[in-house]
Amino acid sequence: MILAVSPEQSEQTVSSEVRTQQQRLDQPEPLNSPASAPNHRRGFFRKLGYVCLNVLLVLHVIAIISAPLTVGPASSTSRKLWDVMSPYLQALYLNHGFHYFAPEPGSSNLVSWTVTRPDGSTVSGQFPNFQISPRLLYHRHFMLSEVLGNSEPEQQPEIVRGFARNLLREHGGQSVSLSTIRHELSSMPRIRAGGRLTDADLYTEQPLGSFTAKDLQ
Amino acid sequence: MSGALDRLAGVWRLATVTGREFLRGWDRFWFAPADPVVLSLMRVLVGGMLFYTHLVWGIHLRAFFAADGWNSPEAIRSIQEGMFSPSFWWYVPENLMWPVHLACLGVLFLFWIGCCTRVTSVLAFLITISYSYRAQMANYGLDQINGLLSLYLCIGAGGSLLSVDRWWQVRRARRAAQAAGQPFTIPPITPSVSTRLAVRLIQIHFCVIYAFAGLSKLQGDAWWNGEAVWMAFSNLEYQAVDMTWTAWYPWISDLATHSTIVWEVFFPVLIWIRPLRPLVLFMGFLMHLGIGGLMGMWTFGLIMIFGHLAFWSPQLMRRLLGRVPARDLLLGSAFPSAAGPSERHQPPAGDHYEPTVIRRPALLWVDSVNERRASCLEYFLQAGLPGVGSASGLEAATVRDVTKPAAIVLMADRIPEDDVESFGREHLQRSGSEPLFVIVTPEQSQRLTPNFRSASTRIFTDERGLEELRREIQGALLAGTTPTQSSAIV
Repeated sequence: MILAVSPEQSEQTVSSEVRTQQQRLDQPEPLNSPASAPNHRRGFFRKLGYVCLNVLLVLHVIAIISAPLTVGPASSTSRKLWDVMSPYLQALYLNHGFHYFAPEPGSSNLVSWTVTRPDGSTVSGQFPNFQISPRLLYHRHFMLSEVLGNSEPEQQPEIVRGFARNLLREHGGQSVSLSTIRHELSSMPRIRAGGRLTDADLYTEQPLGSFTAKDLQ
Repeated sequence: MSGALDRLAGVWRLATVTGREFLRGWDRFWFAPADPVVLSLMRVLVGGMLFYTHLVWGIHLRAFFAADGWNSPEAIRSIQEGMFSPSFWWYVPENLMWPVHLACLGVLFLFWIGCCTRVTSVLAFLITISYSYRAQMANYGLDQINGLLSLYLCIGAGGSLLSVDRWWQVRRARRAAQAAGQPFTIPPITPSVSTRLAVRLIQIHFCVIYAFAGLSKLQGDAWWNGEAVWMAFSNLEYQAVDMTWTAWYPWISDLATHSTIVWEVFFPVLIWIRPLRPLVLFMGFLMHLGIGGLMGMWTFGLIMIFGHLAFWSPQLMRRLLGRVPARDLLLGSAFPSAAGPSERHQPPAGDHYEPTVIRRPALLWVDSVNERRASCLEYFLQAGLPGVGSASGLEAATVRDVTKPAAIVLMADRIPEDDVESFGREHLQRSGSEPLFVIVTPEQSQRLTPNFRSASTRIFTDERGLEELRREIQGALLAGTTPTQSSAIV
């Protein structure tokens, strides 16, 4: 680019180098310029893109609100909104209710199991248990037992069969029996009166069944 | 009748002005270019968390992802019935589980260190949701937040700083400068619209999370009578520290319960009130620290704290990161978008626009020809010499005093001569004045040259290209004619 030479040439100071830069910068040409047509088109598409982006933003915000809004109790309108938005939210893994510890913190669920090996020996266990480390892995196991404890009755058999299959595989067993344990919370007065969180009467066990490897095939 | 029409016209005008202001505010809120420093730090922290999360999946990989594992396909299908839940894990045969898992860890590691971030960020998001959907029964809050943060990190320029990508960018610029025999300048960081968009989406999503976390708790009696936190403390399976001693001090649970509710319900409002923001974030920090320390959910507590960084100002972040080693390389310099004409969104200073000015501009370009000024500023910006512009000598004196540039270029050919003369006189009277490059026509040179006689001034009357002028400027700055040179040349 030639910066300046004479007043006559100053009109031509936007030489080819600058013109190339200008095109790159997408600066509008004068309206009467023949080169302005593509820029107009570009301007139109840019505006269209801007409008589309804004519409998408509004829809996205409505969608992320609709997910927690649908966790019961929910209105019929919010459920209809969820019906529309759910494919989008599910595809992006944004379909969450965020109802952490709501309506209030409750009791826990554990799973206890006994595996019988082909030689007749047995091995028993429970999850979650504090021997599982690191803590993140402990929480993964805790969530498994929580999902089982809070699942719908029609979902429970498949979940239990999956757990049984994994326990048989891990311990080389021939059969396995499982039960779920509900651990109720202790109250403040109980603790003040000498109670403990591990008191036996706070645990309620419910058998889930026994399975052989053949049953699970 | 005419009075009613006037009133109607007044209302219309008010509505138009309000609507225009709203649209301007909306545009500024979502699209004002933002310094990528916040998003880059979030990428480092969230990337680390993603890597750790998936590393831990690997401890019991088969148990969680194989068909005969905890998450049996039948159970997961019954839970996900009618859902669109994409996961590549459904298509991985058992003998390839470990190679696939290791490849995923490799991608997550690259994302963590900011290598090919534009690609690895998208892959990291796909990996995160694939693991989460396949092992859905073992998921909890951590996976939800991992998913949404990795999604938004795909949008913004999270790899611009604190990354291998940045290191490569600097290395390329150094090599190019060496090849051209020019002084090397560290490439500046330009604020971007995509970064603003990503940060805003994270902010809005966190407001939704806390609003519903708080409102849903209001359905439970325990969150009203103060027992809720005690109930969390007395849940042995969540316990990391024995807190049963608080049974003798019920006010602790009452206070923590009520504080949690107030904080969560009002977070979406209070966080936007700037003076209250540090307090709101500090309370959130304490709450999540408590969740991590007392309930053992460190990963969940930390990922929420990482998400809070979206509410931090880039200036504060840069101040805090100011002492990192190789600061220029890792963090670069962020310039307000006024420095370059390519930034289309140049909002006025307001609540939502926070340009980060770390360094003074290298150049003040005084030129009344707008297009030429814009083009030249763009050229020098790309050459590592960011600048500010001015259309007249009078205005230039003010801009110079405010921005303190390292050098000044005065294109005198189209500026009135009295304006050029008065600027020259005023400029040369100042002590330690910046190097001044004056480009004049041959006719002007006779009249103007006597006004610019000084060691730090150079007058050009001959034909001169931008490349040549840039070399002259860089030479002058490197020669140390001015104490301000180090502000732009590295």
